This record gives sequence, structure tokens and C-alpha cells, in this order.
Amino acid sequence: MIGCYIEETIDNLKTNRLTAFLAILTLSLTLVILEIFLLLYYNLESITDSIRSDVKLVAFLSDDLSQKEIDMIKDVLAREEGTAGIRYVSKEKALEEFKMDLKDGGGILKDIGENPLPASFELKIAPNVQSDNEVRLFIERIKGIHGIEEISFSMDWINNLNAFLNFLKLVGLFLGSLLGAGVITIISNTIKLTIYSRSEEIEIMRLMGATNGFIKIPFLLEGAFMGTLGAGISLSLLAGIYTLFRLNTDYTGGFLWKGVDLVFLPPGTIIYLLLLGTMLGCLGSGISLKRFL
Amino acid sequence: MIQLYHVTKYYGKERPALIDISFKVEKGEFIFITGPSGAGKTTLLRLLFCEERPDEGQILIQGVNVVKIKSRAVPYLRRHIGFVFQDFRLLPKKTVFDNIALTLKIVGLAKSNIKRRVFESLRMVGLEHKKDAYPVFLSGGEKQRVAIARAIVNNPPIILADEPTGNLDSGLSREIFGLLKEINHRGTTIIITTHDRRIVDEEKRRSITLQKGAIVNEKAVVQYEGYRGLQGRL
Repeated sequence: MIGCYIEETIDNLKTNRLTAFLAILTLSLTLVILEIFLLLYYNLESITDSIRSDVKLVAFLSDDLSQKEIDMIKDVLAREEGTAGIRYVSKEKALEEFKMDLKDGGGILKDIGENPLPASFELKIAPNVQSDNEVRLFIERIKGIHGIEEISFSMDWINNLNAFLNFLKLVGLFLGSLLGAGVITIISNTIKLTIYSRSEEIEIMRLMGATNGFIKIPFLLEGAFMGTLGAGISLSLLAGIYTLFRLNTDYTGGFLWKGVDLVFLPPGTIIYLLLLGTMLGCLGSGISLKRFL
Repeated sequence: MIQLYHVTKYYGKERPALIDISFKVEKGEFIFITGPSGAGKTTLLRLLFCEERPDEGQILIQGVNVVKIKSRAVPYLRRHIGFVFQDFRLLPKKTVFDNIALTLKIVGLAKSNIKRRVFESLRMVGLEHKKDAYPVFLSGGEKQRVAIARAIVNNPPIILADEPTGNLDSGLSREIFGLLKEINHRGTTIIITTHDRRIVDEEKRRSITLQKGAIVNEKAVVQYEGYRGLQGRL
């Protein structure tokens, strides 16, 4: 009997190929909007995480420290709970990096003579001490270490960034929910229209003695097929858009993009989206059929 | 085979569509239900077909009280009744073969049997050569013959035909009645509704006339005895 239902489903899809094609197209285009939004959201989250994990604190050292003292300071800093990573930048290295940052390759520094830049330690702050207060306490602790002359860390900047990203996420969730509701409505209505266009067929089958199951199952299978195919096509479209964007956009130079790679939807989400398509197709068919059976 | 006892059907609070209808139809009978438009002919067929239930009275079909059967049993009852509609009701996107085969798919017949039975049925109505045609390419008479083939393919003991010649000219109407009479000769009980008095008079069969929902006249078989008469003599 299952074979008969599948055969009937394939027959129906072939017979009503234009309606099915239009339904799948609508489904794909509607879902791709939701997926683009999801992709933006995932990337925003990835950038946020990357920026947060990249928060650095620079501890400038006095010029008169011996190598032994520098090593001792390094040990103390490394043992600190809030330190996730540590990098020593010598006076020479600091000058070299500064020259590289300048547009003319450091020509302007030729007349300076002695290297004015201090040696420093760049500390990566552990993710668990990123609240305002915890960072302040961490700074207070390392400020007292002998040989550390100055600490450079912009608290306001990181706080503003956090607030901005949280706001963006909130807006994202709100818009995403609205979009999701819209997509579900459009898809279920599209499926409804395909069923309404075949209301006569349903009526005739009923009069010929078809049970509700006999009528329903092929329609549900059709809905599920169209939903899954629609979701599959929309994901392929999304992958195409994503690839084109990556190929044609230089995102490595920008401030926000620094060290951040664009991400595609994770496999789990892809499976969820395919299932969402299947479910919406099935549900759209089921609800519409209630009108006739 | 079919028995109606004091059947009444209301639509809203208006005058009833059928009032106190009682009659019997024996196995193998060929009977006309006649009357002007709005007399209740189609309502009567809808009740026989369990598309609707009467508000009062009882209807027995092959000994089953259809007023009391559960909704989920209705499809199984309908498989014992073939239905022919005035507007043919063929599925436009299916071929003649597939339109007829659908009836057998519904009852779950094997594929090989479906093919054989559909061809038999098409042969009966003389349309084997049109098996791959779509309804849109058929004439009115051909469409109705396909509809008849679909109604008989499952060998139902009863055929209900609602104004089967309503959309056809007189020549084609005779052709369709000829076909229905042939089916009746094989033992199938046939109930036809029509508002065309001329055909009823020509055919000289048992007829029940409805007017404003009530039976106003009932004529027994005049000359032709039909399947029952023939059977009785054998």
C-alpha cells in the first residue's frame, strides 16, 4: 500500500508539475530570506566571540629592567587567573611593528635617534573575567607589580562594543522571529493554494469511496517532498550567495573582520532547516485538507 | 435492495427538501426519479449516497441502515455504488485510463487486475481507442461514457445517475440510455434522476415523480419488464 501511495504521489507531482514547481519556488525563495538572516546572525555571533576573545591589555615596562626581572614579571603575569595568553614585545620589536603600521614604512622615524618605545607584555584576558568589575580588579592587581610602569586598556570601548553587539542580537532575534512567522504563513498558504486547486479531485475521490487516509497520505507526502526540496534548494541558493560574497569581498582588511573568517550555517542548523521545510510542507497539506475531509 | 421509510430532509428552517419519502427498489430494477428542478431529486440521491443524512426516517441499502452507519464506514458503502454525474466529474489532468483506474486503486486492487478491468470497462462503453486521451479532447457523449465506465469498473450492484443526459443532445442521450440499459441487463440496479419527461415516457420504466420534496406520482413498469422480469421468467 505504501508503494501505491508513493506511486500516486509521484503521479500527482508529475500531473500538477506547474503548481508543484511554483510552490517549491515560493518555498525556496521565502526560506532563503530566513536563511540569509540566520547566516548574518551566526556571523555576527562569530565576530562578537572573536572580538571578545581578542581583547588585549598592554602592560608597559620600565626601560631599566634586566632580563631576569623581565622574566620574573612574565612569570607573575602568567600565573594571574585572568591571563589567557601572554606575549613579550621588546623595545626593538615594538619599533619594528610601529614602523610596519606607518604608511611610509617608518621613514618619518629616521630622525628620532634613540628608540623611544618601551618594552611591553600583551596580555590576552581570559573570557571569564570580561565583566567591567572583574577587568578593573585584574588591572589593579597587575598595576602593583614592580617594573610595570603603565597599563593600556580601554574599558569604555569594550563596554560599548558589548552593549552594541547585545543590542544587535536582540534586534536580530526580534526581526528573526517576525520573519520566521511570516515565512511559516507564506509557506502554509502556498501549500493550501495547491490543495485548493485540486479540491474537485478530492471531492471526486471521496464520492468514489476513497477513505480519508487514501486521499490524505499522497497529499501529505507531496507536501513533505515539496517542503524538503524547497528547503534544499534554498540552502543551495544560500551556499551560492555565501560563496559569491566570499569571492568578491575583501573582508580581511576591515577592523571588524580582522582575524575573523566568515562562517556558513553549521551542519546541525542545515538539518533543522531541511526538517523545517518537511514539517511546513506536511503541516500546510494537513491543515488545508481538514477543510475537505 | 434499497428501501426508504418516511424519509424527510430539512435545510435550515425552510420548507423541507424531502417530505415523508417511502419506496422500495428491487435488485436489477431500472427506475427514474423525475420532477422539475428543485423537486428534491438530487437531495434524494445525496441521501442514498450518504453524502447527507436524513433528519427523519430510515434508508436501507442491501440490508444496511445507512442512517446509522459511522462516517468512517461511508467510503466502504460507496464502493458498492457507482455514480454518474451530469457534469461528468472526470479528472482533467488524468487520462481516460487513469480516471477509470482510480476507482480500482481506491479499493486496493492489484495493478495487473486494474489494467484488465479498465480495458473490459472501456470495451463495454466502446472507448478502448481513447484510453490515453485526456477528458478535454473528448466530446460530451464520450465524457459521459467514460464516466459510466468509471462507475461500472468495480462491478457495483447499484448505479445512481444524476441527470446523466442533462448536458447532451437527444441523440447522445439515447446512446447513453442504451448503455445504461445494457448495464441493467447484466443485473445492476439503476436509479436515474431526470427532469426530462419525454425520456421517461419513451423508456416506459418505473418512475417516481417528486414535486416540492414529496412523491406526487409513481408509475409501475408499463411494458418493459427489465432484468427482474426476465429473471422471473427463467
